[in-house]
Amino acid sequence: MIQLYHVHKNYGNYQALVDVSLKVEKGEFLYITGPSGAGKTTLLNIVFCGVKADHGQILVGGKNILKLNDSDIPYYRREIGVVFQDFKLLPRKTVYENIAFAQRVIGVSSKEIKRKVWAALKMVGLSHKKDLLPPRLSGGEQQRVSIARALINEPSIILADEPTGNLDYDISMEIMKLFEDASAKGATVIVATHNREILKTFPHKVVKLNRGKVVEE
Amino acid sequence: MNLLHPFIYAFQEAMTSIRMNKGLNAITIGTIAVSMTLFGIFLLTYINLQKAATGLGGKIKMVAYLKDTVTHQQAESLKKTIASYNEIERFSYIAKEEALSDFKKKLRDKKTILDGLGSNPLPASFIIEVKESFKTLSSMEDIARRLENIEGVEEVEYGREWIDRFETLMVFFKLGMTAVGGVLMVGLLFIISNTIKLSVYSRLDEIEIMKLVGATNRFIKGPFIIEGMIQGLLGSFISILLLTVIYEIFMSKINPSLMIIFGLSDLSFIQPKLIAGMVISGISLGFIGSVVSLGRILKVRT
Repeated sequence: MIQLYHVHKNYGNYQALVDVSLKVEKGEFLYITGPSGAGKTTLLNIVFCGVKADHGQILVGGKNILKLNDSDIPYYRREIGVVFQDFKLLPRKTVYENIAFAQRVIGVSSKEIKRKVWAALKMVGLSHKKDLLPPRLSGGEQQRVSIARALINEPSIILADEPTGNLDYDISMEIMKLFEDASAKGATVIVATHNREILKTFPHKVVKLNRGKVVEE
Repeated sequence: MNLLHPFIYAFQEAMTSIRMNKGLNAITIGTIAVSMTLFGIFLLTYINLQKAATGLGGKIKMVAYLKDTVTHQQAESLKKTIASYNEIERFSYIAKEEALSDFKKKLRDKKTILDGLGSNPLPASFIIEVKESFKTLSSMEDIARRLENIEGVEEVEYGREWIDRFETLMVFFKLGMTAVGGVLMVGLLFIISNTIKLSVYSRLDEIEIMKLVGATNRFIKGPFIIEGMIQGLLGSFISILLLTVIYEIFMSKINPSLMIIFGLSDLSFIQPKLIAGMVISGISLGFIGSVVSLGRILKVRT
């Protein structure tokens, strides 16, 4: 599903990724781990087309994403659900609107949006908070909204960057359960984390990065 | 997928943005309104000057003076020739004797000064009124030249200088209007594009999230472009309202005798066709202003 060959990425003189090669099968659940500054976020960003690799090849679903035009990127991103540590929710839109946003962007009808958002709210257990604004929610709840938004378009790939970074243990487990469910439904999931508890509780393949290099697989 | 959904969404988002940035939008709409009102005042002046010109032009007559040697029969033949001109609305013949008696009437009690004259020094003439559409300098010149070439015609007078001056004034006025219009247009484009830029900057987080979930640049630009167009539309509406108020106040204050001097029965307002033009220009300015400002901002990859 995702293949990286000898990928390099520099930010000025700083080497964020050095000769990274990686293969993630369809439906696989993979952890990218390593200390801060190891290159986890850069790796996810490259797969997401948020930044462009300096060298190497990246195939996603058989497509060489380095050859995508700027105008193709939005359509490519619709195949990917992303979750961030800081949630990236729209503070002036309600929980419902935040989740519906991902559907509106791709032009889904209001009727269909309603049906899907209700299902997504039910899945993350936030139906009763649909009319609240994100700042009124706890961190765990905000992350659940973010996951609902990432999953609503039924992406084939889910990328999560430190999704439990600021959350306590119980809530982190709840969040990870949602990724487990998505994976069980066939999505390819890549989670960047340095939370060892998670790695122990939900064991999957782990790729360890350090200073931009793959040090353990 | 319904093609209307993105448009409805863009419109709703534009309205939300206008509500959220009320102050900024009010300033922009106000600036558009004031600038377009200034332009409208120029336009109103131009329209009414042109109307006055037409009114005064009605009084312009051409006089073809005949040579003293022209006989009565020749004069009759000249009448036929002049009558054949398409450009001439009507004309009348003033014989030498008639010209003298008219002159004497005008002199009234001073007519005795003419007593010493042995013969009638005044020539016979044709007083010619040219059709409205030919009351331009070039047409009048052309008619006068052709009349002067007719055997028996001594000289043709037609207020050349007056027409020339008026036409020059109108050319300068047109140039001034174009210059003012151009400067205002560039200024408005600058203001609109900056308002949209500020609007974009205040929503950069939202744009980032839109990009994350796969929004195309066209989808992201939509609400901002509509916002610019709404600003242009409202600005032009307000300017038309302001112009109506200014026009009504002016009409109620102006001395009617002043208008008569200019040959005007009343002052005209901007025609509906030009009002529509102003509204379309306002919307277009909003559209162009937004597109210009969005082009560079949205080129960022994420």
